[in-house]
Amino acid sequence: MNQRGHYYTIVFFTLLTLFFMLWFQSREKRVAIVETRQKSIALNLEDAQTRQIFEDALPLFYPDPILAGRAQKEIEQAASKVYRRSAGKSAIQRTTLWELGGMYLKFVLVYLILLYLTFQAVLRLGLWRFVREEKERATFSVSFWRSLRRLGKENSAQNRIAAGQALGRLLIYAFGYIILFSPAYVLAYAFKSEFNHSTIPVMLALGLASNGLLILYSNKYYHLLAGESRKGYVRTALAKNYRSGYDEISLKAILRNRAQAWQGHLLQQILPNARNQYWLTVKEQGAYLITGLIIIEMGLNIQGHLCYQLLQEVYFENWARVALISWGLFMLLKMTDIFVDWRFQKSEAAKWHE
Amino acid sequence: MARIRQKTRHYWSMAFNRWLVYWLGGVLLLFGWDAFFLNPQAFGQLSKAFFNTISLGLMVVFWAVFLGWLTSFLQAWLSDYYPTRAIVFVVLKNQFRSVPQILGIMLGYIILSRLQVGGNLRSPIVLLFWMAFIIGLFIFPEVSDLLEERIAYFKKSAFFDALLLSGVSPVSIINREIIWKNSRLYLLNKMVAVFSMAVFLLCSVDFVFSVGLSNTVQVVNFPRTLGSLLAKIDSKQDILAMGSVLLNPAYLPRIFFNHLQGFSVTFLIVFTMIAWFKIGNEIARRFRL
Repeated sequence: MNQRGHYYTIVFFTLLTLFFMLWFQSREKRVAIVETRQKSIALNLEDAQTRQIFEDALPLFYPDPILAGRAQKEIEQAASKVYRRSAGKSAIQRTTLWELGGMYLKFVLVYLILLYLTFQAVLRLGLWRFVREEKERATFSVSFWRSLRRLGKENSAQNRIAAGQALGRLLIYAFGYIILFSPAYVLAYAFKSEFNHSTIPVMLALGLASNGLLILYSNKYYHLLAGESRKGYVRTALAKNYRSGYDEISLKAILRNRAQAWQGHLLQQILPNARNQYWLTVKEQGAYLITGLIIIEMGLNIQGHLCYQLLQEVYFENWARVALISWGLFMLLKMTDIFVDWRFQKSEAAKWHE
Repeated sequence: MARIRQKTRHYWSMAFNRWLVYWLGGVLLLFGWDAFFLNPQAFGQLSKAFFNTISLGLMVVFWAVFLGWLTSFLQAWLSDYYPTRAIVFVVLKNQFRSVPQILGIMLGYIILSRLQVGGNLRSPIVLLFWMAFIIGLFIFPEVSDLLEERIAYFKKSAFFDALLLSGVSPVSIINREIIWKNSRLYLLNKMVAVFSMAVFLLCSVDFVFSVGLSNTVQVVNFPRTLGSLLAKIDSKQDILAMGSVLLNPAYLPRIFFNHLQGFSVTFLIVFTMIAWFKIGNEIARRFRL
């Protein structure tokens, strides 16, 4: 989508949000008047004296104890609903905007840090898998199976150690998969039952290593690398005596991921092209990351954070505020899209310039 | 007869997917174990939640493909004949892409809940249908992107112009020649990814609602899924017990007897996500997508 398309989308969504906010604001004012009236006639059962009068008066209206019990339950529910709704209800004011603004900035900060970290992790994980496949290394399950077969043929100490090592690697790999694919709330509740303090490090850790984000996007990057490695310019590079052996690529070099490490190697040609193409996927990655962060904040009930606040606003039916927070999240996503498109066009232009 | 056998063998070899077998085997093994060791009430809830989750996931796949196909076709057609209308169409379509999926689904669920309380959505099947539609509405841009990419790729080649010169209508070229004949396998691979994504989003929304909004959105009246079952307090305690195994490995055997409900729900969610990711990978590798 070109930049103009993004601006049209922003204008349309902003107008839609403004319309809903104004409509909800005027509706909430009308509802507030009705609720104040309801509250004035509703019983405040939190007050001990009122409760005593209520309990004494109930048998006069309902002599049957079963009916009295049912009536008590219904009246209590209705009264608590009126009090609960009016307790959390409020229109958008300047103080609310400051409060929400602070939460929004915190959310944006966590998002940006995570987007950078996941981007770097995806590049390294995808490259690691690509190099492993190019080295024609067997999968962890196959190498464990082979080591078992060798052990079956010859029960030596060396084969036993090799089988133990292969099993260890397979278990670590399987455990890593389980962790990376677990939804954030599963991982979080496996270690802690409440999240009230030091929440930002928890959010960063969960955002990085849950919901399958790293595996899904490193898989996409791997496919881009594999696609690039089959293109014609790779054969041209081979003719120009670029090195093609992948055994020289160490894990340390992959983790560092610096351009100097691939000088004179095919990766020097493949990596920039694959990375350029991956830029467009960053839009998708950003959207998935925002979804993940919303799940983390809401699922773990992390108080004082934007999405927990959003949940509260839904709970108290403050729809104007819900619309405002939703608009904020929409804008974050849209800004990511605009930045990514700009970055992609810049790198494409640089490529043609070269 | 030999031809039928040959064709059956051909289709079986095409359809056979190692990870699909692993997934089915794993699920059957778990339910077999649960039938013996999980109490009947919890077993009934788990079976129902799993069935609802899988059915919803499949319905989401249907809606995502239907909407994705329809919008990509309309976009291609409008951009050829009515460029201004095409821009309006793209802007409208992008509203669904630009709202975080989970937020869109949550707001959709709130509307459904309101309709249900108002007595407009009484049948559970109709409710499932609308739940799937809402999730599909926020996933379909992924399918649409894939098909638009395929249509753009074929439009650039001589293929499109050659068919147009042969008298084939543009509607038929896009739907029959490009999407059905030349993009079916890509679509199949995307459907697998959509199913996995749908299960994840569905479980997450139900979990969030069951934990934080059980009074406002009456998910208790919604069909029970693995996410809402996971939000129950005993499931959460089971997950905490599973986490404690890392520090106390001797506790591991008790997980399969004393904490079976939480373990089963967690296993079904995580294993389904892993297995369907692998199924998609296997399709991509086999057909060189």
